Amino acid sequence: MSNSFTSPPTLADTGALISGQIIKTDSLSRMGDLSNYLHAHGGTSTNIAQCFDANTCVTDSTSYVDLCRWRIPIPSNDHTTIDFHVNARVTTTGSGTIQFSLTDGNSTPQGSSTITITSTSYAVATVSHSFISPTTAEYVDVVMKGKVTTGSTYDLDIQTVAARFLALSSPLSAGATAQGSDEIIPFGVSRLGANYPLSARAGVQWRNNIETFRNRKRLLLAWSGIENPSSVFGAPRGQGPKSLGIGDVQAMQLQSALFTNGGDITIWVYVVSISGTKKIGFMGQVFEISSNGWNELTLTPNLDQMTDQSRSFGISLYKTNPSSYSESDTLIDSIDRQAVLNNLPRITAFSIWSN
Amino acid sequence: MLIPTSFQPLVEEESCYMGVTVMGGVLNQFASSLAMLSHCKFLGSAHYTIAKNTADLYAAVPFTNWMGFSLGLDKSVKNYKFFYASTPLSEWVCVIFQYAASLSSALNSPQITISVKDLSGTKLSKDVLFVYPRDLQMLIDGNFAKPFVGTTGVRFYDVPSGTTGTDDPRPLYIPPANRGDMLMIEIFVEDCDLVSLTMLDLYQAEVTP
Repeated sequence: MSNSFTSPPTLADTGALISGQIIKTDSLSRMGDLSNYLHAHGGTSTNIAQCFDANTCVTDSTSYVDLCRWRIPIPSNDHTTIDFHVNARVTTTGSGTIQFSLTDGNSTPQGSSTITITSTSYAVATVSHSFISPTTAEYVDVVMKGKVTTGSTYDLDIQTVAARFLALSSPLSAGATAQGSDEIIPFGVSRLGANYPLSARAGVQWRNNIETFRNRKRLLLAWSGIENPSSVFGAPRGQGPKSLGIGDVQAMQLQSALFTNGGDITIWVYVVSISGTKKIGFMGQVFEISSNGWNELTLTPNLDQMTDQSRSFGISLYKTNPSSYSESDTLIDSIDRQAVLNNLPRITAFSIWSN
Repeated sequence: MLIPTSFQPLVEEESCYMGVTVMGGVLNQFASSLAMLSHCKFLGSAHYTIAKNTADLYAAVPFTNWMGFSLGLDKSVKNYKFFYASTPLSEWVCVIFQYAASLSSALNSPQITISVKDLSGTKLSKDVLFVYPRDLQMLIDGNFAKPFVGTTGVRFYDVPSGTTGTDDPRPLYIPPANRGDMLMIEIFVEDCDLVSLTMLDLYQAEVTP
């Protein structure tokens, strides 16, 4: 009994699934097919996306240095391959290497993969990385490192980095699987065909799968400062942002759809040099933070504050961005604080997820 | 059929137990919820911030974005390549971008061109062109203000034919053979600067089953 699905999926006509109508096998098989499709493809759109102006995300180090970090949700326990894509160059003839190092949410190292860059003009390169062990973690931490082969000569310069978890292929593996600890049961689609009974089990299975897929996280925004830039050419290269600044309140007005009954938003904030309790604003709400490293914040979104574009897009869009908070205990950097130079508490990465 | 944009409460699990009459409404609700997930929640998206040089007018380098966007917009020309992980349902992709443009030089004539390509660089559909003043704005009072917002809009167009030439702003078209692929969205900006970029599969409220 194959757990197959079609791509793109076909929908069951809800107009045919109403009281008084005969339940047709076509509708049921499509629903099973779509449930399988959702497990395979749900949450596999762009999982990391960040861009840097020329000569901003650069290194001339001959040993690996940390450049950026992201915390991103894993779609399910079956999604263990992630493709990394970069648009990068070396500034003069030579070779540079970008390494992506992964550790899952259970603190289990999941290996690393590298991309070698030799083009002196920006060029696209890709590496596919598979986790080295199965995981039940909800997320994975990705650290992007860089180095050059020959020192004192040129820089490795990264313009764009993106990643996506690879969707599962049809048919899905037999048997129950999971998203963290939540069970997903694929459908044997032909079992939903003609001359088979519609079991109570199928109904419970749909319901549970839907609940699980609703809880599968979408990445709304992942941002990282450039932790250790360096350039053999000196200033003005390697002067990109290392910490979240007050200007980002204006420059990060990115928009995402949020859904009624979609629950809370999860915000992960990476903090360094903390002392005492500091504060940060996101989407108009203020949060306290008192620990270095990744901090988890939970935000109940105000769904009344949709953007102007929502009207024309036919869907409610929201700005998922940091908010201005300028009191003395702020974690947001500014020209007055210069938190990097003065080693003050600051945010060097954050990630926003939603159902 | 209509695609919901919210998570409707599900029936009680007991509604599916043995001995309970299967009601049309139960299956209708499941089918509708599944359609919401595939055609709304899990549509493709990408959200890009663009890191800029943080040096200010006085050559201080705070290593943080303290003013919203970078200086030096005059006659600026940049070419960005963004990646977009499309889904099998990606047909039209809307772009919402923040940009900065300044009238501090009368010679500035902002223009933004968006191309859809595969990873090998082959163009997949006609470019989309934003020009000043039809589609873009410029500040007249210096650089210290909020970036503008531009968008491809969501109007459905006929499928663009060919890959040469440009169209006025419209959602980006993804040909069937490339849906589900990682795509390259190339953006060429002149006399202005790109600040952030949101790309979203176009939500379609009504879908033919």
